[in-house]
Amino acid sequence: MKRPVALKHALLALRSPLGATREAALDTILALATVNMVDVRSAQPALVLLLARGSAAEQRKALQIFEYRADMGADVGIAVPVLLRLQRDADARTRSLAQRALKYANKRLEGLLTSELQAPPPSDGQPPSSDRAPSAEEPAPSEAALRTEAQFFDRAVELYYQQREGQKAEALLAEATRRFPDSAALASVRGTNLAWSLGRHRDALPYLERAVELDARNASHACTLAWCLLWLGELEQGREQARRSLKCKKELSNEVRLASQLYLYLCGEPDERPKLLTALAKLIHAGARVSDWTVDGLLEQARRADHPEAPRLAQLAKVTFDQAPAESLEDWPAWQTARRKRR
Amino acid sequence: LPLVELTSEVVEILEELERASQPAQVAELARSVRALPGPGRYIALWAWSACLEPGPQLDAALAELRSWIAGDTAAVRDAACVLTWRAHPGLQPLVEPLASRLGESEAPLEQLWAGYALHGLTQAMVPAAAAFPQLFSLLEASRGNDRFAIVSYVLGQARRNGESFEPAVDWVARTLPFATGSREIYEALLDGGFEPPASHKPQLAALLEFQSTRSWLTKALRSLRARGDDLQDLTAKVSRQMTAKTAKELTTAVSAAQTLVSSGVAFASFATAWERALAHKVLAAREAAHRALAATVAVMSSGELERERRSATSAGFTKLAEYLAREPEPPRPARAAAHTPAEARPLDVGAIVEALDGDNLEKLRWAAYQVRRASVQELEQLLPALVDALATEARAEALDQLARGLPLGLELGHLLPVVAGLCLDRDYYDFTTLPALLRFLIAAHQQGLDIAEAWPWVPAYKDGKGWANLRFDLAVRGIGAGLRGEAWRAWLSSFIVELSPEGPATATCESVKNLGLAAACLVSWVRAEVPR
Repeated sequence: MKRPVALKHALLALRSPLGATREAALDTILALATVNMVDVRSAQPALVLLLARGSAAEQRKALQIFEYRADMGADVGIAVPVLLRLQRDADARTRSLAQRALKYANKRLEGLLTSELQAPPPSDGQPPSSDRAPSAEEPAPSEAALRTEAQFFDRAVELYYQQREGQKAEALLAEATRRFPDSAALASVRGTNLAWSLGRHRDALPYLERAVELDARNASHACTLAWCLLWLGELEQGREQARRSLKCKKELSNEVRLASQLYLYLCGEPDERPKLLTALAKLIHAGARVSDWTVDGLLEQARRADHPEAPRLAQLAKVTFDQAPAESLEDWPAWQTARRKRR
Repeated sequence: LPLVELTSEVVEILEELERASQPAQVAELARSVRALPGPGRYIALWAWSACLEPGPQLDAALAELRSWIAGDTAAVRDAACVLTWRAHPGLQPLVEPLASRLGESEAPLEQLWAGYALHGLTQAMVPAAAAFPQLFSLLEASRGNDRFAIVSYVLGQARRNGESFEPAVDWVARTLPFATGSREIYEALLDGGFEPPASHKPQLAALLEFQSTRSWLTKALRSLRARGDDLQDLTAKVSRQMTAKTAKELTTAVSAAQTLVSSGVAFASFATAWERALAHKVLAAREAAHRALAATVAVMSSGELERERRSATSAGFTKLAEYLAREPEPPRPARAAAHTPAEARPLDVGAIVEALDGDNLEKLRWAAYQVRRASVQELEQLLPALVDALATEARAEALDQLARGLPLGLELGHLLPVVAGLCLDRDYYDFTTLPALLRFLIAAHQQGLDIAEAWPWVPAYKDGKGWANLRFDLAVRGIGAGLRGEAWRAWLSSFIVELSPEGPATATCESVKNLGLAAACLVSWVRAEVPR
């Protein structure tokens, strides 16, 4: 239960009667949670108190932390009752953050919250509120105002992932990686943006390698690098990174496990495949999915390598990326065998 | 559970019961209740059982229950349920009819249900002496078979209620060899000045090898010796056993010898046997002999020791003589108090906060434990650190201490969202956190705080298992305050099941009790939903 000093200070600062002090502490916790991947579980009770009774700014920051932690597969059950309240909040961004956190929490709680989850707001021709640019009442932070690594990280993710503005994100990340050359998270997000948003896999490679170099124990960075290498046909190195990501302890969520095992199943050695398919069946049965991702390049590599299950791979990818139900694989004999083995 | 269908029937029964003034009406209602289908009838049965409360309907209800007790298995079961739910001293007239169903000629299931009914009554301090002959008879016939464990439960409860067992002392003695409860009763009798007759000697002899009975068995054997019995037969038997070849037999024999010497039998009577035991080829047997011998000589004076040593030497018992010549181990010094009692020392709030905020688990647990003696002012200072400790291994203790602050007047309403969240938090999701959570919510409700945010998540904790008593306490409060929810309805309904007297007696007792509590909650729920 060793906690970093910064977190200890932030926890003490959360007890301060001064709003500004608490907000600064929240910034620190957010930075620790998102950049250094520190376990900020010990801050959760205090964060719930702020979520329930803090100022609007404190509430939003606490929400961001919970949403991020939930996304990473951490247990945010302690915040669920307040999140359920906030999913009906008047503010669209608050609603959106709360709904996303609840969605992930529900998976972890094995569907206990299903009947409580608020349906997403009806589509009125505009994208959902969470994907919309910040409203007029809540202006987007100006790039010039970005100071910390965490702020750059958040803004970049918002640009490339939520707003699908890959070019803008690349411009921002170019500046960010210049200012924070030793940030593994920024290097990884830049590589991901280049490859995933802009299709520049070859350009992404140095950044993804840099991220792995800076944070060698991070499973997520190794997994993304594996994906990029396999996409580019660097099969040997890609397999090595995918296997390594499964051995890393840091940030080895079920999503990362699922992705790495899928990559290895698509582009790995033939003798590994039955074991990998069993592992995939186990994870998929446990509710693990990778959201919003693509493996088209890897499917192409699998076809080129005459993968014996090639006709089924696209469907397997769809199930993995939550675009098709797991039942759609039931008529696949190899899958049935894997499911039996899982039991 | 067809609760919706039952709703109108239960409410009708309750309304009719309130109007019923004639014995025939009470009996008529009972018949219609018992005719209801499925386990849901237990809810109606609970509603009907209200007429067993002291009041004008009690006599009619007693008459009805007499007919149930004399009836078939289902009828005796229903009687056992209602008597457990509504037990009070006014129901004593039913003890004899119940005792008559314990007889040898009765079916085992009916004997069991009659036992559960008597257990329910004795828990409410109803005297059960009238049933002692039948209870002991069944206990003796079953020779301690677990199937009839409920009989021991009834007798144990009667003992705790302070009932006199002197009239049944021969029954008690006969069941000593196989019934632990009888041993406790016999011990209590000896403490009360009872002197065992010679007829109890065979049963007392059967306990010689048990360490757990040694303290009072010694007293009983001394009493027999004082009245002229030299216990020579037992001495000879134990001496013979001490020459056994197997270590197991020898171990029990040396323990029996120790008891007999403590009861005043001469040490020298066993000298030959001790000598052989000390030279036994099996190490475990020798060790057992050493242990028993050490305990035996520990209470002998130095003069007695010297005399026995000389006697052993002259008889050629070298090992025994050598053992008796050893320097007695000095008595261990009484453990001095390490420090002044905790209550006397002032609480170091700063150190506790530091430990609660720190990373050292041992110190964290120490600090959480120290908070138990914090005054209200100290507790107030410790609040932020205790809240942060809710995300640590000391969660349950921190919660308990926060709950302690509620009746002391601390303003802790703002913590309810956190406590509600703990019902869903899967870190430290264990059966230790659960009672602490429930105690906090109960205390919060007692202070008039709104527990609605936590309410829906309590039944799901650990799949509804564990700490049913606290959950029912919370359920009664919540339902009374108008809180509802499918999760609670399902949890309460899960207790409305067909009862069986087979299986562990504790489980059946719990099932009957919980069924009554669940039915009480559901009836109050249903009544509030149906317009009257």
